[in-house]
Amino acid sequence: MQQLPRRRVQRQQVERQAEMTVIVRTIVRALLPTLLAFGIYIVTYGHLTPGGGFQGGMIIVGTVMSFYLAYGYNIVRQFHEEDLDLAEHIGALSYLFTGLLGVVAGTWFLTNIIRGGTPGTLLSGGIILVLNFVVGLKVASGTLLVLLILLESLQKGE
Amino acid sequence: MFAINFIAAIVLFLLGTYGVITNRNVVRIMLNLGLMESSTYLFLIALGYRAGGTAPIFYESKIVPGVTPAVDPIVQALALTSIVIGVVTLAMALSLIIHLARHYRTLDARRIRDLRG
Amino acid sequence: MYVFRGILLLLTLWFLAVALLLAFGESKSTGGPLGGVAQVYNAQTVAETTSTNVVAAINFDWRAYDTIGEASILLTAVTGVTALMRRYIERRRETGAT
Repeated sequence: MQQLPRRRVQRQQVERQAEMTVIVRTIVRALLPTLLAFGIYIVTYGHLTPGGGFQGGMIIVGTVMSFYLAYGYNIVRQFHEEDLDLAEHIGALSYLFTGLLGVVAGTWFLTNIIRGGTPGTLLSGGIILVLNFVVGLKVASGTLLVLLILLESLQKGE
Repeated sequence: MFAINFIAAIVLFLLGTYGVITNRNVVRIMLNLGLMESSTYLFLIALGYRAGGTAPIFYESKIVPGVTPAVDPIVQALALTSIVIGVVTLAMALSLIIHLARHYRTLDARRIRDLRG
Repeated sequence: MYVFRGILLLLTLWFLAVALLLAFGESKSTGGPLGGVAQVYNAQTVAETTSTNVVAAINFDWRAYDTIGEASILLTAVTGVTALMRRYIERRRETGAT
């Protein structure tokens, strides 16, 4: 009975030590909309400027991970494993169905069936625009799932 | 002095090899493996350079495709794919390292060698 | 004994350095124009696919099969990590300790 209050105090101290200073926490909280908008911009304009699905997905993962670094593990506990798994499977199947649209239209698998549009505007590029979103969703949810699983298996017991 | 890119890639590769051979901590071995992969990305992109060429992004109207010389775009797409494969390899290796650390209770590469039942 | 290991390490690194420098010496010169498929991609991407990013068009339009293979690699890796860590996650969710 004498050991029980001491262990609880030690656990609280470890959890407070996982947070960073108030400057880092405020800056990360203030920069969240900018970083998310930047990641979605890189995914969306992937057919015009350098970028695309893979790069934008990694930027979104970097945003969430900077929240983990600033606040500790408790703030990324809200991501459920099943939701991220479902999002990744939706992304993978959407890629397949976008390719099957070409077979339905009469030509081969994964041909560019959306024609028209002037080069340089947002609604150009045909199938590249759709595939950028699909691959961005897939990469972001998959990498986030892997990182959260590895982090959860390393936490000390309660 | 364009050859400095190739020499830097070779030096990074040799540093990574030295780190993989010499280190005892398993996590440091994985980090040095990542360094070797980064040297191959640098080597690949340096292979595609053409003198006086620009980036293969024709967003501005001053750059006309076919007339303005541009560097090799295929090598950049290959490097993009390789980066994703490197990330995947690192994720699988880290989960295996977690299993190793729980079972052997050490991260020393020279002690993880006996076959325990 | 450790001196022997050190000399062996240095010999290995020296051999690797010489081999890599010889391999680099045979690469193509940077003076001439691009040849082969890269010239075709640079010249015809904006006209055919109406996208101005040639690297993204190579990844998603000219060679979209390779990108579907890469997406399946990502899927396999996530499945593999989930399968390896399944025991720890379930035990932690049940009892609170691993």
